[in-house]
Amino acid sequence: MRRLALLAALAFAVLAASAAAQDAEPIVGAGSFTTAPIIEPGTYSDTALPEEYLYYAVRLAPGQRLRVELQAGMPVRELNDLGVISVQLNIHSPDRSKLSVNGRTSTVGNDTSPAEVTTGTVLTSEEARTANERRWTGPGVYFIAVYPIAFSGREVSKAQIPIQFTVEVEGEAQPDPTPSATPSPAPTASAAPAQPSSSSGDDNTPMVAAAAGVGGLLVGVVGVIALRQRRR
Amino acid sequence: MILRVAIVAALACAFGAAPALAQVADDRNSALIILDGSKSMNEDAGNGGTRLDAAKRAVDTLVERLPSGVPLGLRVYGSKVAETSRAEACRDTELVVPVGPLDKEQLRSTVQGLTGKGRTPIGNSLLAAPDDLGSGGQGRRTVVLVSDGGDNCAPPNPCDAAEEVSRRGIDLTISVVGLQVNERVRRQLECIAKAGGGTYQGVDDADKLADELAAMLTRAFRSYEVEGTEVTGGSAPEQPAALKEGLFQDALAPGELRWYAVDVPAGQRLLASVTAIPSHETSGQGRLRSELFNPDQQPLTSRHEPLYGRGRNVAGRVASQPLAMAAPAGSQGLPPGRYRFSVEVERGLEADEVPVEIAVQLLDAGEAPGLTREAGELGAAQTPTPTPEATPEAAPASDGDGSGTDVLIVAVAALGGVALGVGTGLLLSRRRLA
Repeated sequence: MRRLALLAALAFAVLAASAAAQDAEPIVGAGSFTTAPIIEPGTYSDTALPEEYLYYAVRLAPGQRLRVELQAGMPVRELNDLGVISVQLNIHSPDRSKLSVNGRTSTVGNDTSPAEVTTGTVLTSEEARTANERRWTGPGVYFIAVYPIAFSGREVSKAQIPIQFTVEVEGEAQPDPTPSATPSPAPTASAAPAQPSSSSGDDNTPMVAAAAGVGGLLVGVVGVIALRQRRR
Repeated sequence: MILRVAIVAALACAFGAAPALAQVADDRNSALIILDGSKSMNEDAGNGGTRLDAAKRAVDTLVERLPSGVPLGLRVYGSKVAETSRAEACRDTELVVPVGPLDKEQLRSTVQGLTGKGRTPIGNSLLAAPDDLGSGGQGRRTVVLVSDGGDNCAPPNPCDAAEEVSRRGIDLTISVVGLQVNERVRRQLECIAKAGGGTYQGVDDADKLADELAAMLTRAFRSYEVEGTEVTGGSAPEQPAALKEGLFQDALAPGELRWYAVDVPAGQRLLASVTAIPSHETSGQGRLRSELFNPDQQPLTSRHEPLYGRGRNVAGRVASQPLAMAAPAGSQGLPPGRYRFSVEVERGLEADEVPVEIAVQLLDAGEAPGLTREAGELGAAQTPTPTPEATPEAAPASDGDGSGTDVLIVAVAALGGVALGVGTGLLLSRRRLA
């Protein structure tokens, strides 16, 4: 009986979510960082199973900030009935470090405020490279991770949970200048002579071989003739 | 458009272009398509062909997108027995392609040979699905039902059948695509999807069927596939597995610590990450630890993060931590050279081994990182081959081989020239003597 009530509630929730998600672009999130689809700012809809990770990716340039807002397509009470505590939303930087564990991890549902995470303003590559930060704060591919967390020790229903999220990229993209200065003179100096010599060796090998062959030919001819003349 | 791009990317990336894939669990997710082959599928789909034609084209497209070998099967109902014989027609449901590694040609030719004939025994088909998909293994099981009509063979009621199937297999969900269905049929198919814990998707434009089918199967097969070149970390810091830029995978038993190394030239900054992905079946709780050392063996970064098994998902199962130099090599305390890092899955997790993904990037000035296949950083050809337990001398040795070859070529040419010269000289001398 409880199961029937739960399924009825789920049916209602999915219908309500699909109505709410009419303006959202349907998308299929990936199961890992490396397969995450790169998306543009907009509103998207997807579904996630309990305990399933979904990944999406967004390119960020210097001067930009990523803001993501996530809403589940069912109230928290119904999520709980499925064995799910909440749907967690995180942003990972290009080095996969978790930028923010959402302040409001108990996500979403129609009766609660949406989950929201925001990055800091992205630095230029050079600023980030020398920022003395242990995580990457520069431009690159940032990851959005969505994860329905299950209750401990409870059976989890296998049901697709509708989710809807909005991706906003705030701030103007700034240029990412590449410094022209060579980073450290000592290794460059030692590397510089080695590089041309190695490449010239590669290019000139046939020429040197040909010259050696011709030289050998001349030496052979002259040597034999000289030997014969001396004998005579 | 986004959906299409995302599906193609997800399918191609997750399965196709990966240089090496390992399943998180031993067993992969599997799926069964239940396809409507009833008489109504012969009706005009509004795009110049019948609905069955549209289904055939959709499967054709799907087969192109899916990689060979994913565990997929096909059950068809209503394609063999004419609808005049109700009892017989309602038993007309057959597993025409057993669930197993996808043979693209077999699936394609089977679907191409279908003709629309009979009734719509959805309930009976659903009840057969758990046996089709089997009960062994740890992967999720998904049924995707494609139908243009409602069940006309009840009992069993298809909604009840879906609920029963869902109860029998805890890891089995049923999703439904309704092709050009009316309101009454839509309600029935939605009921099946809800009872089966899946989603319902209505398709009015027959040309969109392939996209919807692919979206459902992408979700069916989606899991965290550990990617990258397989590598085994060294057991001691003096014998690390030498890594270059790219993605690598290893698997560590709980309590095991392994060593890796990356050579960092002056001016570049190492940006690595370690991601542990315990399988869905892993229980217990442990920690992922990693530590980065500079060439002078001084520790730079030490990270640890909890790893939770099933049923302890406070913060999530997948744990990821960065191992980054704080500044480019050549800066204070960061000499260029061989950087080593250790990865450890601490005891506590109950698993034989925990898959670990290691991403390594060496950033030049102005280079923006981001290891995703779609970002173009992870082509199969770009993933370098690691040299486990390689010594720093390994690289110069390779250069030496190259120059040695050059010297040999020149020497052989010179000797050949001399031999030819001697021969020519002898010939000329004999002629003069003659």
